[in-house]
Formats: sequence, structure tokens, C-alpha cells
Amino acid sequence: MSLTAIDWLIVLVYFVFVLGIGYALKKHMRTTTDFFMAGRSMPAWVAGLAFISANLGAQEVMGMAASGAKYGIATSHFYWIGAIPAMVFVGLFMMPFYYGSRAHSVPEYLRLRFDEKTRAFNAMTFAAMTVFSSGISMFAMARLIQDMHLLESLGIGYAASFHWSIFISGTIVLAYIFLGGLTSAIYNEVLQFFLIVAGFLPLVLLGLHSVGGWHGLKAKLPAVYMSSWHGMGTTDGNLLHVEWFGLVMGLGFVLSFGYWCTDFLVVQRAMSADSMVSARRVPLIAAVPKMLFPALVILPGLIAAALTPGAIPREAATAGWQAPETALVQPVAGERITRQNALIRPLLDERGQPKRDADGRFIYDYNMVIPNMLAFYFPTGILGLGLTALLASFMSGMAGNVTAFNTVWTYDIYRSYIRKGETDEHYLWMGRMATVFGIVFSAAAAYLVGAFNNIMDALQMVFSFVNAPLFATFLLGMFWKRATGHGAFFGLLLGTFGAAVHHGLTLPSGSLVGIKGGWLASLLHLSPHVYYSDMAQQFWGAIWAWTTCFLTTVLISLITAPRFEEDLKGLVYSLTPRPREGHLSVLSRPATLGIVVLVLAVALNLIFA
Amino acid sequence: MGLDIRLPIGLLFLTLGGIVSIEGVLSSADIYIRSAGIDINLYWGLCMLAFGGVMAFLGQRGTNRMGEEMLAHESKSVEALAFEHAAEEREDRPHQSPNQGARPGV
Repeated sequence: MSLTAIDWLIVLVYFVFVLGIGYALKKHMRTTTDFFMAGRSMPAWVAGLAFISANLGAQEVMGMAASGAKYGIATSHFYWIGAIPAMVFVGLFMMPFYYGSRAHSVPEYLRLRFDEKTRAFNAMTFAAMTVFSSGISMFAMARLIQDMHLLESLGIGYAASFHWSIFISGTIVLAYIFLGGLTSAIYNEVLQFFLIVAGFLPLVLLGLHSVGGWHGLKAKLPAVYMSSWHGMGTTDGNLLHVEWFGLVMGLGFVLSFGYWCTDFLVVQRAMSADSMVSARRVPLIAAVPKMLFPALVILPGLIAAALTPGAIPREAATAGWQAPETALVQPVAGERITRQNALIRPLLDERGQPKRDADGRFIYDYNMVIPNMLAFYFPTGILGLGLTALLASFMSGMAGNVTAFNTVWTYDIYRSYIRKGETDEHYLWMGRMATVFGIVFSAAAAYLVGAFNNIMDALQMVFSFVNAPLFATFLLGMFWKRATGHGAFFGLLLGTFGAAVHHGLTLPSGSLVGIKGGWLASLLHLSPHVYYSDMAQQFWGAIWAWTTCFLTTVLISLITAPRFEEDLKGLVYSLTPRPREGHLSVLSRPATLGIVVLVLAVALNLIFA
Repeated sequence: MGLDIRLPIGLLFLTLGGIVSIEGVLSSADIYIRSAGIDINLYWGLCMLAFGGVMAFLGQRGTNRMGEEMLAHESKSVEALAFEHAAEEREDRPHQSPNQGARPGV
């Protein structure tokens, strides 16, 4: 990607604004509430856009486009099934407990509802995971900058690009969070949201134009690419190799609710709202752009596949669609597509030769769809904007993780176990220090991931083990007053363990025993259960882990002493009065917004089914 | 928090829109082959300018209003502020009545 001075100017202007916002907020950071909770003064729309932006890292932007190129519109399941229902649930049913309990964090809610050891387990696992996630974002951004050879026009070589990228991204995020705390992170996330739309919307419009609009796109792609529910009755009827039950329960319920309802990264933004009604609206407001994002991130993948039909998996071929003679299709108008500027290119080996699979076909690199499309469609000027949008999405992901980390560290680890009873100024100072070492640890994680290729896969695996059982604990905690601390703690422990065991006893089809699973089976001299695909293994693993946690929590709670009900007021559904909404008109009630969001999501599912 | 977020967003989009539109005007037509001959810099730059203008206007109005509220806040008596604060707390805090036994009234 060759950038000119104009493009660099745009990137620079963005960095100046991001730091400027942090600087402008510095004088408002007087208490820990200001720093960690944005003073609990965020309007619902601001917190709502930050909620979605913190979740939307560049890996999602690039990853969803890659999935769109590989699987087609079925990728939208990650949004319409895998996010919307959970977002509506957390807004309507869980925010009253998170916000009403006045907890500063998700682990603190667990302490109030259950006990100290449950909080400790959640706080420690979350703190570690969130720092590693930030590190993965930093690594991915640095690797992308390297592979796009962005800094070479400035005279910085391949290896040095990695270090400069880590240094600059780390320093900028550190600076604006150190100065302005959560408010700065939230304001910058809102900024990043609009930038992402500004950067990718023209890409989608130009791309669609070049394939002949929606009809042109449909004509160039196999039917299975344009339908999200086609062939979902069985595992081999669709490209994801998951049947609808595994998809809905594994992704739609366990994994999705596990993330949106319990991950402090997003919940923190809702907790910063200026009132209970606002807090409940935050995830609902966020759900609206979330529903529309497939147009921005998945569509480029479809367009790229339409212009590079050689990259469409053989098995996608259906009656009525013939793979074109050539692997590249020319756009309706615009520059010619060649091997060099193709939107989906083959992976290369060390000698620069394309890698081939067992059948001799190229193995394509779907991950680079977005950068390739930016380089293809955007002239200098708007190219700088597109690049800035991509960088912004990486940085909003990092900042989200770092603010979640500094809050959990300060309140749930430092203030609870290391130094209790200090002044507010001391904890504010600690929060700033935690930001510094949070970024330093993230950078260390980024280098670790860079040095050992499999670490990223290993980390994702560990994250999924920890996330899967979480929602069972919160569900029981919020809706069953009989759930006890012992039940919750052992439920989490066994659920996480159960996820690991499931992974050890199963294997996705075509994979070797090892990081993909099957290690326990091989240790016990059993043959592992084979799933059709990675996704199927992951979704079913989640279902098993969740069920293990749920049953364990119920059983152990029933045999341990319950809490006094007065202590659980405001923490459990049956012991908390309904939020007071009588003074609001029907249209402005959160429940109404929730229903509207669900209806829209169902409509989208039907339209693209 | 003393700064209406719409103001920096508006200013950023005005600046970026300006840069991109000027590039759109000054650049030669041959860089637009890739974008099907459309001068995407100019058109998108103008859209961004419009968006930035609206946001900056709303943001400036919001910041002014925040400033007025802060002045009004400072001029209130301590008792009046304490009364207001207590009323707000009661709105958000969960019901603290000493009810024994579970009453699934919800």
C-alpha cells in the first residue's frame, strides 16, 4: 500500500485529536469515580456507541470480511444470532443488577452476590485475559503494518516496523487513558465508531458498484453464499458445518451471552451511564449499529469473493452456479484486476511461492481482504481515511481492554487484597499506574505472540474455556436466590475444567491431535469424537461447559447454606423491585426498544435467509 | 463531563473532510480509474464536511449548555444541592425496606 503525504496527514490529524481529547479531560479526573466510571455521567447514546466500538476491534472487521469471503452471508449469524439476543437480554434484565448494585465492576457484583473467592476467580482470570487480548490487538496491528509495508516509504524496514508500531500504538493509548480515564476511552471510542463508518462505507459503495450492485453480486456468487439459513438442518448442508441447534445454543446462547452479559469490557461502558434508564438503554442502542454492521464488514468479503471466484471453496458450488473459467473476474468499471492486485491472494511460503493444498489448489489468505480492497479502490486521500479507520478500530479494542484491566486491578485485586482502606487519591494514582503496566504487559504479550505462532491459538482456546461457563453463573446468580457462593465458585471451576476436558476428547475433522484437541483422548488411549469443523467443536464445547457449570452450581448450592434474603436485595430478580418506569411514555421505555431491536433482527434473518 | 463529545467529532470531520475534498479538487482524474471514474475524494469529503458541521454545531450548543448548568450548580446553596442529591440517590438505589421473607412481587 503506497501512501502519500496527504494520507499520512490524515493519520496524524487523527492522533492529534485522540490525544487532545485525553488532554481536555485531564482536569475533570478528580476522583476514582471520574477515572474508572466516567463519573457515571455518560449519556446513553455515547455509552451505547462506545459499547459497540470497544467490542469492534480490527480483528473483527478483518475477520468478518474474511469469513464473508469464505462462507458468505452465513457469517451474519455472528451478529444476528451471536450478539443481538444477548445484547437485548443484558440491557433489559441484567443492567438493573449491575447498575443498581452500585458495583464498580463485574467481579465486584460477584462479591456482593456470592463471596470473595468467586470474585477472586473471576477478577484474576479476567485481568489476565484482558491484558492478553490487548496484546493480541497490538500484535495484529503491528503485523498488519509490517505486511502492508506501510512504513517503508518512511524508510523503516520490515522488522523495525513491528517495534515502531507497538511503540506508537502503546504510547498513544497509554497517554489518552492516563490523562482522561474511562471518559477519554469512551469519547475516543465514539470518535472511532464514526471514523470506521466513514472509512468503510465508501469502500462498500465502490465495491458494490464494481460488481454491478446487489443483483450483480448475487449473479456472481453461489446460492449458499447469499443465504444464511440454507442447509442449516445438517452439518454437511452448509459451509460452517454446524447444524442449527449447535449454532443457536452454542453460539447464540452460551458463547454470545457469555461475552455480552459478563465481559467487563463492554459492561463497563453501560455501567458508566448517567441513570438506570440510560444504563438499560445502552446495550439496546448499541444493538442497532451492530445489526447493520454486516453491511459494512461482511459485504466486502462477498464482493471480494465475487471478483476472485477462484477463492470460493469447491463445496460451495451449487446447481445453477458454475465457477468461471478464470480465477479473476473483472469489475464493471475501474482498474483491471490482475494477480498482483487481486482482492484475495494465495498464501505464500518462505520462497515466495504460492502454497497449495492436497489437491494442488491454492490456499488463499482471506484475512487480507479489507487491506487489499482499501489499496485497490481508494485513491490517495480517502486511502488515508480508510487506513485511519482500520488503525482506529485496533486502538479502540486496545483501550477497551486497558480500561477494563485498570479498573479490575485497582478495585478487585489491589483494593481488595493488597492495600485496603487507602484514600481515594491513592487509588486514583494506582489506576494510572495500572494503565502503565497494563500497556507494558500488553506489549510483552504482543512480542510473545509474535515469537511463538501457536500462542495466539492457545490463548483463544483458554479464553473460550473461561468464557463458556460464566453465563450460567450469572444467570443463576441473578435469577435464583438459592444460588450460593460455594455453588458459584465450584460451578465456575468445574465448568472451565469441563471445557478443557471436552477439548481434549474431541477433534475437528482433518486436524491433528494437539492444539486443536484430542490430547486427553490420546493420553487415555481412546479415539476422539470428531466434529465436522472447528466451529462445531467450539460451539458444542461451550454447551458442555455451560451445562456442567449450571448443574454443579445448582447441586452445590442446594447442599450449602443460603444467604439471608435481606442481603440479596437489589442483586436477585425476585428480591428487587422492578425499575420505576411509570413516568416514561411507552415509546421511551427500554422494553419497547428491546422489542423493536429483536423484531428488526428477526426481519434481517428472514430477508437474508 | 464538561466537554460535549460531538464537538471534537465535528471538528475532526470538518478537518478531515476539508483535507479530502481539497485533495479531490486538486488531484488529477487518472487516480480515479479504480473508483470507476467517480471523484470519491470530493464527494465523500463534502459529505464529511456536512456531517462535521452538524456535529460541531450540536457539540458547541451542548458544551455551552453544560457550562450554564455548571454555573447554575455552583450558585445553588449547599442545602439545595444536598436535597437534590438525596432525591437522585433514591431514584437509583434499590428498595431498602426491611421486608422479611421472599415476596415475588415481580
